[in-house]
Amino acid sequence: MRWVRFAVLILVASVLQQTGLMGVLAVRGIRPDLLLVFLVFFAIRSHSTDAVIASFAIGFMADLISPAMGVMGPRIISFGILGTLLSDLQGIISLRRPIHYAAAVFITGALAAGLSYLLTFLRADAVTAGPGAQFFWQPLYSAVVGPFVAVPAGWWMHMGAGRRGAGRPWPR
Amino acid sequence: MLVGLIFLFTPQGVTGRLQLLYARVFRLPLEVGRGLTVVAQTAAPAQHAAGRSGYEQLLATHRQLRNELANVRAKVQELRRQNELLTRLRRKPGWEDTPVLKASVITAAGHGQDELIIGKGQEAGVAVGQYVMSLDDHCIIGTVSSVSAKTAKVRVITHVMSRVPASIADLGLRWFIEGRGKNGARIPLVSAEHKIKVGDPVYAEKARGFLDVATVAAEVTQCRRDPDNPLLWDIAVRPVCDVAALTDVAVLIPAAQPK
Repeated sequence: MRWVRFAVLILVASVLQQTGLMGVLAVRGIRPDLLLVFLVFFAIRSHSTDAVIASFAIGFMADLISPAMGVMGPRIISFGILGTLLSDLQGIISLRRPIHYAAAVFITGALAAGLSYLLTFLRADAVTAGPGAQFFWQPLYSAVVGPFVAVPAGWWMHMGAGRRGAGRPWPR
Repeated sequence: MLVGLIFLFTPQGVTGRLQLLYARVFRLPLEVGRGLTVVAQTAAPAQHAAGRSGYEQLLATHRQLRNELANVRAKVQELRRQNELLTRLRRKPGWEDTPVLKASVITAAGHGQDELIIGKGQEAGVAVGQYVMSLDDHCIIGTVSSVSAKTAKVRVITHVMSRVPASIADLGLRWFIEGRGKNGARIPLVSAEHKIKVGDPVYAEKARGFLDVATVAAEVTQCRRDPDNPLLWDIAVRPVCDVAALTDVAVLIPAAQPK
């Protein structure tokens, strides 16, 4: 795992997410979540220990740029748990194909949103504006965009889909 | 996992400082990104003919004049109250007399981009609870929600945790603007006896120690009978200025800083 490249990639994604530049891709105010896409990317393409560390790190950045109700921690935990589970699932189900990758992004996004919402309740009255967008439309849009983002990310990280850390962008 | 739980139960004041530190460290790329976003949002008019750009300018001037007129009306009402109270000393109204601190917007934050991180903090006299205005439109956009040494976070009135005392038009009664996210807010518990129409200005009410005179903050976009309680209005409002396009704001620093 090339950690310096990982850090640069996640920082760029965070800046894009926070400055609203992702608004150019917005459809009816719904923007794709780059950090969610990269969570799934690293979970399925890294070795298990690296995937766990990467998942928690991405969750930390997600909480840093937009904490839910001002509370940090829900997405660190939800991204970390789901990233770990995804990495473990790689031994059972292959998520390398674009359609499987997209499905993983959608399901992970919906579950992460739900888990974050529940964890936020521990600290604050979790009021969410537009629950439909948070729990369904944003994960769906991220799933559509995800396979396209994975190609340049795989090139940058030298991570293909054939084996973990090497190979073609997508398996045939 | 342990780190996540630690962050979850850490006081929000500490985690808020961490967020402000991140904004301060990465201030340059965040400001550049926000600048590009603002340019992209306002670039469309430049592609049209010169007449279109002149029309946009007139529209911006009209909006500013409209807000100025609404603020002048609030000041007139305040002066009328002073004349009626002969035995009581009141502070002279006029937010022009209130010290203002200009601050640049570093970036937006939060889920719905309904928080702003500005480049002034405790060292400049910014404190939690202070009102923040748009310099161009002269309207209240929100309040300071957290502050560090050199940066601060502004909670826009549309934030779901925002609750700003407000009044509608010249009714003279006090309610609250409650944020609903997605660039919208509402004013609950307004009796249907009051005559309110779409387009009425919504003022951020005076707050002792924070705001000396009522100042326009939003306008009514919807006023209909509450389906759950027909005796009340269901009022939706939206800010009168474009928060997403803000590059500079003014923090209203009261003369006597509250402790």
